[in-house]
Amino acid sequence: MDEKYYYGGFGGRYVPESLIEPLNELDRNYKSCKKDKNFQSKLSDILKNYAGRPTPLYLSGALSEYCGCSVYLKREDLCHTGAHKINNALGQGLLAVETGKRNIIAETGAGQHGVATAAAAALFGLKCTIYMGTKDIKRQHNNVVRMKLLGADIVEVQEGDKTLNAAVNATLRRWVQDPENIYYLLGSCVGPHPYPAIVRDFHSVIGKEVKEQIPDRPDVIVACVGGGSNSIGIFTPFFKDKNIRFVGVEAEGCASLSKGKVGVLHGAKSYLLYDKNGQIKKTHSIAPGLDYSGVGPEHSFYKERSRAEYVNINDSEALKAFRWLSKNEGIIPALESSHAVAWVMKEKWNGGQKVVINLSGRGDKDIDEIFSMEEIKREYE
Amino acid sequence: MSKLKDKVERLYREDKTGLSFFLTGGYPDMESFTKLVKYIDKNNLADFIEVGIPFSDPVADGPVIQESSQKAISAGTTYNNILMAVKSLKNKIDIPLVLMSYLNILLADELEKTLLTAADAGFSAAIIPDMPYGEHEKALEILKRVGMELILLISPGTPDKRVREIGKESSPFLYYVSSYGVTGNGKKFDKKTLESIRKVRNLSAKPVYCGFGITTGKDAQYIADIADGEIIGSAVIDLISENNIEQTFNDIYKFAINIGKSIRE
Ligand SMILES: Cc1ncc(COP(=O)(O)O)c(C=O)c1O
Repeated sequence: MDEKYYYGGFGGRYVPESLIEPLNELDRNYKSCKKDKNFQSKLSDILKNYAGRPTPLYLSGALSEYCGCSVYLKREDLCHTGAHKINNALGQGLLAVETGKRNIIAETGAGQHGVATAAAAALFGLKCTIYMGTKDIKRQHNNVVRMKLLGADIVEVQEGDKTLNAAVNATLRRWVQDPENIYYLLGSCVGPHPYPAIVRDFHSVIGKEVKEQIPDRPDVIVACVGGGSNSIGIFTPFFKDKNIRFVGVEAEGCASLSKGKVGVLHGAKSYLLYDKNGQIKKTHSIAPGLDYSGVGPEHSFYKERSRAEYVNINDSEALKAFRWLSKNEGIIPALESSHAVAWVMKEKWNGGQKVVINLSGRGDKDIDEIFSMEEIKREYE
Repeated sequence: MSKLKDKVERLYREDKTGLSFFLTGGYPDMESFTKLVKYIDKNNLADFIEVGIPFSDPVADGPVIQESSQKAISAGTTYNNILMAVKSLKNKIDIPLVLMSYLNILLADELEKTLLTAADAGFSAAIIPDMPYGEHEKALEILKRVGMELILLISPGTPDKRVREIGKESSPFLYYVSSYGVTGNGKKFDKKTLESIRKVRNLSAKPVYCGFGITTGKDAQYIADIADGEIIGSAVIDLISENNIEQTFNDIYKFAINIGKSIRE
């Protein structure tokens, strides 16, 4: 066991032997790009002029009034392609280019990472294949069309739970077949080392901007947790300030941190939902981006050290927050991000607090699915 | 010395190519699975059997083993009931058994306990496909304590230094993954495969068994030129009829005779 692959006891590289060398290579390449001024300046330029960074930190009047404290929204929903996912897709896309890999594969749940990856591939002129579960292809049809327009091939994954879990399995199986030529652009801070660190680093731009944007300092930072990338990205730059409270909001039906046990899935040891026989549980959430049985190992470490609290929100609470923010603030949040909003709306606050919500994405992708619910459709008619 | 080690070393000394079949535990159902183990043992169709514990997310496996695993899980197969079935064969079969399980199955209870149960059921060794060298220390230490061995995998891309290190820890043989990819049929073997196996043999004193994608007698014959043994999985699972065990017996018998001829002539 190599300590440097772990966060406390979590993480590691639990993958088939065939992937060990490719992971070593990725680790070496990433380290050298991280130090390379040229790489960093190219990336900042793309983040600014292509992705639209920095994203605003907006003091939400409606939420502040509702909660009775200052509630800020970090507007990742305004990023190009509609979610924070683009930060990582561009970072890793550039890494692929710099290291001579021209063939990119990725998994996607909500389709946001798929769209971001497809956009990065189009930008850099790379071949792109996206693996997506049957169930998600149905409920995120819009994103499927976007990926196709961006030039990506979609592979439908019909096995297993037909959602993100199965998509990760299929992508890993594909990578094992040709690791020399394929770059696996993993979409959250999960998987074997060095992925959790790479994905975290590319998203920590979120927290760094908040640091510069907020007058004074925040008291509480709240973000939704699927694999855990938008949350780790906003938490990391504030890690050392122990007085700032971190809250990770999971979906009730996939709350690996609040309801799971330590296990091994997709290359890492982390909290995980599995039954007494060790089989991974099928999860459910209205938000496809949260519909995953595992979570990034660094969050398990945060939990164990009590550096962050992990709470959960159910489908109907998230849906309520989705509609409330749309109507009262004029911002349609992604269903994933709505979980973070819902938790803040539920919690009791005293006047002086500054709460930052990472609004990880916009809800355009969710509209068709929501309007397919009869009771909702009727209300708006 | 374990039954498996004894057998593998004897084959090696006698310069005979070893042959192992992989079966998915509990597939097509628990009773047929145990009958298959007995049948292979009684007719001497293989030198040892790998018993795969079905897992919901088998990232190292291709469609054939995925499907058999999924069916077994849906029928209620668990680690414990496979082990109970295997244990019931303890004094009835002679063939050594190897446990093949993904790590999460073994972590569902204390690792100490799950591995002890495996040893007690009669398994000689374990293969854990998502626990590569480097993450293996704790499991190896427990396996040694309960009297089992750990078989580690090597892939075509494993660097020489790492092959040497793995060669020291893996016992009684090294499992060479014969091509990039997941388990399954239809891989092409070529000179590069043979050179690669030869290199691994030179880097380690242990026998080298080759698996992943061996399907036909021709494949088996080709590989047998260099490898000390072969492991066949998906091609065996493909022969299993879900409702006609006599048919399965016949097909596996014919298959094994053909493979046996191919590797031992
Ligand atoms: C808008 C949005 N937010 C959050 C997530 C959850 O991922 P993570 O926890 O990695 O931020 C997703 C995933 O698809 C997403 O699309």
